[in-house]
Amino acid sequence: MDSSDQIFQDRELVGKVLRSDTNAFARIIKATENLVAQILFKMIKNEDDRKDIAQDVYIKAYKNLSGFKFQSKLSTWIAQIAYNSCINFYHKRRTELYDDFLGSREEDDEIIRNEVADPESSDFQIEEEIQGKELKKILESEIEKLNPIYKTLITLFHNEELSYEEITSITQLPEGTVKNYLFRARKTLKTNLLKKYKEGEL
Amino acid sequence: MTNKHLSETEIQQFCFEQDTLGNSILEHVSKCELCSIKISNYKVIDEKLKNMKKESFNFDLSSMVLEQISADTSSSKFSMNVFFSFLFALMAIFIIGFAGLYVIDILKLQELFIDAFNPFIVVIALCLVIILFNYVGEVFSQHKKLIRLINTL
Ligand SMILES: [Zn+2]
Repeated sequence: MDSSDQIFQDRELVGKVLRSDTNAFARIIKATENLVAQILFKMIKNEDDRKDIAQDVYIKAYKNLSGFKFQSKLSTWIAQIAYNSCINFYHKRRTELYDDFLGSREEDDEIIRNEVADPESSDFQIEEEIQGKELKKILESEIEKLNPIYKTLITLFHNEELSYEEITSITQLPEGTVKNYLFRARKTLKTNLLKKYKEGEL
Repeated sequence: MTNKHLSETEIQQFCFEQDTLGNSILEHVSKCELCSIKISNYKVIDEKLKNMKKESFNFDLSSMVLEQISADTSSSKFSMNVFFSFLFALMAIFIIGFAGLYVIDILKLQELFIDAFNPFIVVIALCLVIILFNYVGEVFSQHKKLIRLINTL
């Protein structure tokens, strides 16, 4: 569906909800809950917390629906509420979500970004060496080790196949930051996969 | 073409934002085995991530949310009801009370009313009874709704 069709459909649904048609809201939930689930599963570990936040996301969306201005797809707007709710959850728990990486070690970044592929580098062709299923399993476990924000960005970009623009809308992070985090997350995944191979775990 | 191997950033750019790279880099990749391997590794990772199982909730989120919305709406209706019956009662007290006093005055019935039956007090008491009934009724119907909800779970 192209994005103007999507916005047209969003307008129709939102109009119905604002005229007190709760079935239309149920349709909105059904259409967007998978994206919300993707964010919540990556950001929040505990199942009960996820359940509470998921309900909260849609109660907030329902209450603020009249303020939605159709500047993005409805699903993007709801995903943004979901992402924000997770960030607020960490703030409330005073959990330092950011500690590991948001103190942005810019100089490290520079080193990584300018690092020229080393001819002696141990990069080998992954697919030739590692069986498909095994690789998938290892990759899943390596993703779990990433910071929740990295995990979410990786999922939104690679698994949900959202554009940088949509991810920027959802997370309200500048596009450069989104690209930077994705860069680091992918590099970590690749490095750890190769390391696992070297250690003989694959 | 450039003889310099691609940096990590360029390798990732090549995989995920190819349109941001110049021709000389594209040409280098087409001839350099090392850079090609690095690129293919990111592509393999991308492919696996694309096909990764998507998460989904194991509960009926829409029913849960709609129940909560309807509970919120009826509880706000409930408090509006209490507010309006209170307002109505207050107006009734004043109107009927003053009307009562006026009638008593006109018909010169003062001697029939001992203090306890002052029309104001009578109307206040009546209103309190009405509010109380209204409140008990609402609480009872909320309670019935809750029981119904619990039974359906
Ligand atoms: Zn090269």
